[in-house]
Amino acid sequence: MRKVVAISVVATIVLLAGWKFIPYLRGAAPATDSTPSVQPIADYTTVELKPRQQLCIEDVGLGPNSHYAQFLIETAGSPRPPVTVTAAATGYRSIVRLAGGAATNGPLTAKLRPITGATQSGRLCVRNDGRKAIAFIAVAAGRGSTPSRTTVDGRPAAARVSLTLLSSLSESRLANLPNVVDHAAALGPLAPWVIWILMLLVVIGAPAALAVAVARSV
Amino acid sequence: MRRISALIHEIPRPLALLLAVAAVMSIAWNVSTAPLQGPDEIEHVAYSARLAETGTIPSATQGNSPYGADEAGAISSLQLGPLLQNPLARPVWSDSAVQQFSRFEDSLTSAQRGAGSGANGIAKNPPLYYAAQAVVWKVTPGGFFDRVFLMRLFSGLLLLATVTFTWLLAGEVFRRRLPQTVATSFVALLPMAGFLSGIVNPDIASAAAWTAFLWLALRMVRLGPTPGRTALTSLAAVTAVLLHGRGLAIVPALIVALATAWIANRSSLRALLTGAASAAAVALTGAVTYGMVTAASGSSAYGGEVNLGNAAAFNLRQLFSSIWQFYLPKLPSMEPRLGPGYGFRQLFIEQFFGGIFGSNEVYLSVTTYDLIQVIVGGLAIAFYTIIVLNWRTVAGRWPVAVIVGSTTVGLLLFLHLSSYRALLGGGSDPLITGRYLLPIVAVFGLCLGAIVAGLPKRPAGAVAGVLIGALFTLSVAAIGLSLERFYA
Repeated sequence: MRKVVAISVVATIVLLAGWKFIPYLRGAAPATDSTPSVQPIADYTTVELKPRQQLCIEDVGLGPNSHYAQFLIETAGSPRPPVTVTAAATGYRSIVRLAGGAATNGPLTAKLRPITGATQSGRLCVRNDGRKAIAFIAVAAGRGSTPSRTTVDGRPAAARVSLTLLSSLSESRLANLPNVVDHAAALGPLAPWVIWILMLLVVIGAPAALAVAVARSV
Repeated sequence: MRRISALIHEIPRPLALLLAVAAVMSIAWNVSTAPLQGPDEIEHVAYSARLAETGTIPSATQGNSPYGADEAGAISSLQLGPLLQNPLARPVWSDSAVQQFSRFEDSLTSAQRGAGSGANGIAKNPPLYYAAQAVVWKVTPGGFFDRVFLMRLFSGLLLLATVTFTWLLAGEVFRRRLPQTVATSFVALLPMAGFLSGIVNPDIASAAAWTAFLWLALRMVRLGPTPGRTALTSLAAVTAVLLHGRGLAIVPALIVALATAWIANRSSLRALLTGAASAAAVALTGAVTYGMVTAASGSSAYGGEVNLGNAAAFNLRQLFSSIWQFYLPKLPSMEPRLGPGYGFRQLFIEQFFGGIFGSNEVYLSVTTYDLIQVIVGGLAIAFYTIIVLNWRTVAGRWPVAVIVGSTTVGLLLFLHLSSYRALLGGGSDPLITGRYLLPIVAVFGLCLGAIVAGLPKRPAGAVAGVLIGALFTLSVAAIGLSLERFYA
């Protein structure tokens, strides 16, 4: 009887995990490196970049995992003009030219050459090389915004342009787990290896303990 | 040391294992929820820090420095402010930024850390939970994030207390070990309970106090209402009142519990008077303590939880209609319910049994909530059937039904009354959310235990195993979603 009860606990967990967790963990998602200037949740504003103007976001932490820079843009129904994206920090410069694109609103993504060594404070700029303006999604200064500064041709912009740095555009959640653990360890006293042990306790120790607890109650 | 070791060995093995599981899950919640990202956690931490550093309570309405300098720095420089409720944002986790924050922290004085004089919206809460957290803040070495982590661990201890009290409560209700284990497992594994034990929030303390009250009340009925037992039961109720404004809902339950104990034990007038005197003495001590502590801050008692708001507009018929429509479809004779479309599904299914995490931006899938609704519906029918089939046993144990029932109904009525009052005042927030049900989390555990108790022995074991396995899987899923939201 006790065996049946213990098996029912473990079997339920294994079945549900196999049905939901494993496909989810193997599924792909973008892996975030940082959000130097956050995307809006509801209300948003835009910062317009006219032809030949340059928009810069200052105080951006550029690190070895900053592989992609992603903005959100609106094209007002016109094809997106070509742009040049430049990431720069002390002893580092990555320049990416993006050809004109479709007339769709959404992410504008530039693949950066990652910085070597530790994360540095730098700047990320976009120059409009085309003949039409582009609008960048931005957040008005306030509680929901980050302290980063946006300038257009050196003058402070009215809002902060949203920028996300990604380490990968699409990576399985399982493959990204070591980064997730490192990130979780950064703002607390637990070292990454302690968090790994904690995860093992959750995944293996807790089900075993529950199975024994229920079996001993029969 | 030998006594402690003996005491540990006396803990029943299933309870010890459930406590270990609850501890692991609580720490996992602590790690997976970024600092200050629980509901109003920024304000709860600021209240505790202010109390720890200055010995005073922040103002609920006045002031232009709601946070201490270290917390304000974390909110700003590590993006913990913009992170709130924004699932597209992430905290700053780079080594250089964290080191820079540490250097900034090192430059702060105690006065600067305690500078959060207000306005702090949750400063209207009674001070007991914050006083305990202030001690944790004060004794923790290290920086701001070490303190927040330890404060969250203290919340974890309160979950362990709730689990222990549920075990004792279920021991008063059930004669068999399996239903007791099932009831306790529900509390140990419910994602919402785990989540609140992994953040800084007084709701988990309320859960511990209310569960202790239920256990002590049933014990008082079983053993007789001596002055000591009535005082202890009253102490649990007073603790609930000193933890949160919603704790006031326990006062009618305390009166019902005392009356039930006296009636069930056919107490003499003398026993009744001495019991009432000891309960009143505890209540009075609680009231005086609260008055002394809050007098200095000038806070109004419970931020208006006890008044009826716009008394002129208060309408009993409308309140009844509002509660009816919360659970059931509107009848033709009823006016539409005040406020947004919010009812049983949102409160019980999505926010309590399933759960919504972070600052209400971390959700399970709609399919999962649908599945939970079906399971809860099935379990409710099973519970009803078992109660009807065993009505003679239930009637024979009427004090248990009266005390547990009155405590549950009392809290629900209080929540509905507060919600109605808020909506009557023109607000759009129904002011009733899943975590507010946590004080009666053990009651739901008892319902689950009753279902298992009503089944024949062989299927009961398998059903218990499936229920506990499913609940655990749900909890792990919720922790994983939280980890992904903040750190992926």
